[in-house]
Amino acid sequence: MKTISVAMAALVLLIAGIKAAPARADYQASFKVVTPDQLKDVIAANKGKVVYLNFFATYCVPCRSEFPDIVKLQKELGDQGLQVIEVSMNDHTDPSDNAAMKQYLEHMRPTFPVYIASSVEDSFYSAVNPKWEKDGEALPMTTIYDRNGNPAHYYEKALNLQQMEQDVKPLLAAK
Amino acid sequence: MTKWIVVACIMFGMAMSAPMVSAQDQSSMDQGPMDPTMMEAPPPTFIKPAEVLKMMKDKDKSFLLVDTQPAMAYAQSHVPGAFNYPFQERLTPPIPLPRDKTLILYCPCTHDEDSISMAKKLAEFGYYNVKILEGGWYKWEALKYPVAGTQPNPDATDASNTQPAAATETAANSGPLTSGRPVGAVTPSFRVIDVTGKYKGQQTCYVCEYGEAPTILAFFNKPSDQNAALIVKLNKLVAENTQKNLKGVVVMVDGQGSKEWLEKLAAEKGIKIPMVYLLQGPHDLGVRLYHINTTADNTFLVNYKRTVQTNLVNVSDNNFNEVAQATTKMLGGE
Repeated sequence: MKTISVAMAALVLLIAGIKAAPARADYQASFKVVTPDQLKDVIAANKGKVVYLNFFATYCVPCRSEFPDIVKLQKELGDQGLQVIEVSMNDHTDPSDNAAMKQYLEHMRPTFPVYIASSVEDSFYSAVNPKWEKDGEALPMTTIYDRNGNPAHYYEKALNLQQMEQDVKPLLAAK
Repeated sequence: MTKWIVVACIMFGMAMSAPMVSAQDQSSMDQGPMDPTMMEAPPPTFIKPAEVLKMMKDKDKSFLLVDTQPAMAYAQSHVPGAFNYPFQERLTPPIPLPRDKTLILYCPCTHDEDSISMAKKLAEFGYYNVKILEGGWYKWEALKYPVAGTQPNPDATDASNTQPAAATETAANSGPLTSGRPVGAVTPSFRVIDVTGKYKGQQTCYVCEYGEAPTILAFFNKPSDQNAALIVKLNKLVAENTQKNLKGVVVMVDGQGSKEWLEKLAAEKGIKIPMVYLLQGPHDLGVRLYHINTTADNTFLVNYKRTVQTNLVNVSDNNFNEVAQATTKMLGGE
């Protein structure tokens, strides 16, 4: 009898879950243009949280491969104090890039803020981090900040969920 | 009625006094040399190429474009009306630049570094009304804005009309061309449309995918028999060095028009390296980011760890061995 009730409860939750999940068409893709200075302000405003800052482009295959894991990471660890911030290095002045961004986000359905770089010139990369520009402006690029807003990890390659957790969890634990 | 006239007069007076104040500020900034220890140089201010173009069209007399290229490069091509004042480590007076105009500096550099440096030096001589043309010469050229000189950049907007042979001729006649990011520069991520690679028909970024692997990025202006022969050679070179993880990408600068030619080439010659085109053709961001001179027939960048090791322009059948040698040297250095 107990098993049946548990199963029923699970079924109810499942149905509720399905119903609660918004239809694909309901998702509103939005991405504001951000300058390196504004980005610094966004990171500073999230002090107290672990910030997972990731730069991507819709046309970058390694970026596309890691993006679903980043979406999972936020869902999994958001309530423990993780904040993912995404910045696209697509060209915001190009309508085809904006269309690609909309399509990409509608597909990925992130639950964290997504921005688009104010410029795709070398100066943007160097203003974010001179090392990034010096190393070749690779995508994706990830910087993980601890709760005090200090950079703790830096990558110029795609990561998988396990690697992401490995870095993020200890930072979340260190309150 | 009188009251309204008085109010109108006051408002008129206010309106008149405002520009006078700014004019005074302006003139004080344009005064002769000042003691550099007395005044801190302001941070450089940038001006967008579109703004400068508008000022040129408006026949605005309040500014002077200052070209910091060497005299020979200036003679070949420069922004119309620009005054050539080549970059120098130390400025020696007298400085032949006017003090009653806004000086707009530009350089053929990646980060406007020569212009920024020149602005600081000019400030030491009391030139404070100085702006920097954002993106410098390369951006101006990439935007296809007007160019003057003995070898102005032809307008490449209609690529379809030009026969491949004509393109080759243009490139050959223009002597030593510069094109592509210089040696030591990084290779930024950029969008391409894949025609024959594993992402056929999709937008992708091979630079992102290949990361730090040794990679030859070959930009070709237009389809031509010579370029086809070069692509065959490049494909062979990459095939011979797969064990050393060498990658190669063919990028067609003229855009979608090359698609069928690439598909045919891949089928007929068995080209395995990905061949792609730039979505916006000669106006694509990739052209600007990589400083591709659209008058060059081709530009080969031999890269390792996302840094240009060798830059070769207008490679022909006869000197493809230079690409091969540069590659061997790069791979040997691993």
